[in-house]
Amino acid sequence: MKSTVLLRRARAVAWRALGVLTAVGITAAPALAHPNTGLGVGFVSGFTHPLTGLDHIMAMVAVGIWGTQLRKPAIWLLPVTFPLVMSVGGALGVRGVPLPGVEIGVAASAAVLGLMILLAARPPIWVAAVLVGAFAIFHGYAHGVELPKAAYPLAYGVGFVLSTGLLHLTGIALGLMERWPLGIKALRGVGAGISLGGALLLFGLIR
Amino acid sequence: MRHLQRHQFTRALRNTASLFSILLLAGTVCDLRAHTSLPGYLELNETSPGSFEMLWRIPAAEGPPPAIYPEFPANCVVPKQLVTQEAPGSVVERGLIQCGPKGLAGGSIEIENLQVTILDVLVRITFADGTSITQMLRPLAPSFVVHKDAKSHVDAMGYVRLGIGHILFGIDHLLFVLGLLLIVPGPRMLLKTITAFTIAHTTTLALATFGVVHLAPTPIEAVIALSIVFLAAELAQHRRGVQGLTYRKPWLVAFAFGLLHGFGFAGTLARIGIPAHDIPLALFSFNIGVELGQIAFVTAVLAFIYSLRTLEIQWPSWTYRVPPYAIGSLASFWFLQRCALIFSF
Amino acid sequence: MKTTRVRRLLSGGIAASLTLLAPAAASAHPMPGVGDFYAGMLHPLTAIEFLLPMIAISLLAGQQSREPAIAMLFTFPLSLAAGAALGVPIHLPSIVAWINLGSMAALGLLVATARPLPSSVAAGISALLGLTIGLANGAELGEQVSPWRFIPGFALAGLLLVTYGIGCVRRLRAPWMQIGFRVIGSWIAAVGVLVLSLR
Repeated sequence: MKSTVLLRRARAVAWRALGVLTAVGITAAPALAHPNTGLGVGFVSGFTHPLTGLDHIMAMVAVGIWGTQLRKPAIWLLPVTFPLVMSVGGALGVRGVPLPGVEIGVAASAAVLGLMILLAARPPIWVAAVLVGAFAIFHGYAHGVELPKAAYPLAYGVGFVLSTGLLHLTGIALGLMERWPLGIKALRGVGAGISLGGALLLFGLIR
Repeated sequence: MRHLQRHQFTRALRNTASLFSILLLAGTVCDLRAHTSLPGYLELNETSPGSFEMLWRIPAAEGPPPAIYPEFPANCVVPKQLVTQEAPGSVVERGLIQCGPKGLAGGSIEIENLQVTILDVLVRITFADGTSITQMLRPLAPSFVVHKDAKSHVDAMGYVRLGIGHILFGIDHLLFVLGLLLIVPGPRMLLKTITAFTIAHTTTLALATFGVVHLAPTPIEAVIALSIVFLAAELAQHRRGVQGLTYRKPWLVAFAFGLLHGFGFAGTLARIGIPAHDIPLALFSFNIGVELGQIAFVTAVLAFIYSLRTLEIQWPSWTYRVPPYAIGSLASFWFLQRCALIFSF
Repeated sequence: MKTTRVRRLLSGGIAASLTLLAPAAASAHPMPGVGDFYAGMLHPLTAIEFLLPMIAISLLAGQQSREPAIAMLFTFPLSLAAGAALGVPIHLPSIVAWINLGSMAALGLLVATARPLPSSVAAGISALLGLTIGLANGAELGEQVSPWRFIPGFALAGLLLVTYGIGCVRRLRAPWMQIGFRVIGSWIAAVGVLVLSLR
C-alpha cells in the first residue's frame, strides 16, 4: 500500500519536473538550436558566465540553502525576489553607475552566507533580506559589466538569469536534506566548506 | 420511415448548401491551400567521368519557390541557362555540371539560403561506376563534403524527421485526425481509433512503397480531402441529433480512411526518390516519424481542450457548429482544388 | 481517482507536446517554403523578445480568477491579429521595440507578485501587449507573405500559448508549482530589466 502511494507521488513529481524542464527548454530552445549564430553564442556565454567564478557559484548555492533553513516565507521569497534584485544590480553595472566595494562584496558574500548556514542562523526576515539583497546587487553588478560586450544581449541575459536560477534551485534542493537529522549536520558541513572557500577567496589565497 | 428519409435528405441538402456558401467565402478570401511538405531534391548522375547530369527540384507548394540553390565546388562549371520546368507543387531545373578530371570527390556541396528555410534537401549522387551516396541536408547543416566511399548518410533520424514534418505540416492529415478527436468519446475509444488509423495507413504505405499496389497520387489526395468532408458532415449532423457511422464505429471509419491516407504518405516518400536498398529503413523510420507527429498533435489538441475546460466557459450553442463547418469548408475547397489538378493533366 | 490520473497524464501531455514542438519552432526565422500559416504560428515563438512576454502573459492569465482569465484569453489573440494587420501598413519599430522590452519587465513582475487583477485591467494589459507584439510582427512581414494566412496562424499561436498557460497554472495547484510559476515570472522580469538597461 505504502509503495503505491510512493509510486504515485513519484509519478506526480516526475510529471511536474517534466513541466518545469519544458518551460526551461522552450525558453532556451531557440538559442540552443542555433549554437553557431549570435543568438546561440549569446545564450551560451550568458549561461556559462555565472559558472566560471567559484565565488559566484558558492554564493548562489548558499543563498538557496540558507533560504530553506530560514523556512516558510524565505524559501519562496528568495528565488522570486533574488533574480529581480540582481537584475537591478546588473542594470547599474551596465550603466556604469559607480558602486563602492563591489569586489569585496562579491568575495565576502560566499564567506558570510556560508557562515550563516554553518550557524543555521535565523535572524529576522528583513535582516536576511537586506543582507541577501545587498549581495544580489553586488553579484548582478559584477555580471552586468559584461553584458554590453555580449554578442546578443537578450540571449546573454536569458542564459545568465537561467543559470543563476538553476544554481539557486540546486541550493534549495540541497537544503531539503534538512528533513533528516543527518542532513542537518551535512548541511552545516557544506556551510562550513562554503564559508572557508569564501574566506580563502577573500584573502586571495586561492582563485 | 420514408418520411424520415426525405427529412434527412433535405437536412443534408441544407447542410451542403451552407457548407458551400462558407466554402466560397473561404476560397475567395483566404486562398488557403493544403500544404504538402516535401523536401527539396538534388540528383547528380555521372554520365562520363567528371560530368554530372543535374536534377534540382525545389518544392513550391505555396506561392513562389524559396530562393535556395545548390553551390558546387570551385572546379565545377554550372551552365548559365538551366532547363526549368514547372510541375505541380515544385519547380524542376536540369543541366549538365562539368567538374573536370577532379570530379566531385573531396569537394563540398552546399544549398545556399537553406538556413533561412525549414526545408530539408535530399542529395543523391550516382557515380559512373554505379556507386551512389545519399545525404540529407538541413537548415542547420546545409552543406557536406562528397566522399565517394561514404556510406549513405540519410540515417533513420532523417526519415523520422521527414515523417514528423510531413504530418505536422500537412494540414489535411491533421484536420482528419482533429475530426476524429472531436467525434470520439473517451480515451479508450480514442486509443482504439487512432490505432486503427495507424495500422491502416502503415499497411498501405508499405504496400505502395514496395510497389505491390500503385495508385496515382493526385486522385488519392482528392479523396483524402473528401474523407475530411465526410467527417465534418458527420460532426455537423451529430449536432442535429443524427448518429452517423463515425459516432457508432469510429475505429472502422478511421481504418477505412487510414488506408487512403497511407497512399498519400507513400506519394510523399515516392516523390523524394529513395534509393532501393534504403526502402525498408526509410519506410520504418518515416512511419515512426508520422506516428510521433500524430501523437504530438493529438496531445496538443487534448491539452488545449483540457486547459480550456479549467475556465468552465458556457459557450453559446452556435459556437459548436464552428469546427465542423470550418473543417468541412476547408476540406471541400481542397477537394475541388485537387479535382481541378486531376483534370489539368 | 480516475480523473486525477487523466489529469496528470494530460498535464504531462502539455509538457511533452511542447517539447516535441520546440525543435520545430526553433528553426530559422524568415522561413520561406513553409506555408505562410505555419510561418505565422512559428514567427512569434522563435524570437525571445516576443516569446518571453507571451509566456509571461499566459502565466498571468492562469494566475487570475475565472473572469479576468477569460477576458485575457479572448483579447490577447484578437489584439495580436489586429496589431499584425495594422503592422503591415504602419511601421513603428523603435517605439514598439521599447514597449516589448518594457512589457517583459512589467509582466514578469506581475507574474512574480501573482497579483489578482480586475477583468478590465487584465483585458487592457493583454490587449496592449497583443497590439505591440502584433505591430512588431506585422511590420516584419515581407512582400511575399500573405497576411491572410500569416495572421490566422499568428493569432492561433497566441491563443494556444495563453490557453496552455491557463491550463498549467490552474491545474497544477501544488504550492511549490505555483511558486515555480512566480519564479519563472521573476526570471523573465530580470531579463527584461537587464536588457532594458542597455537601451
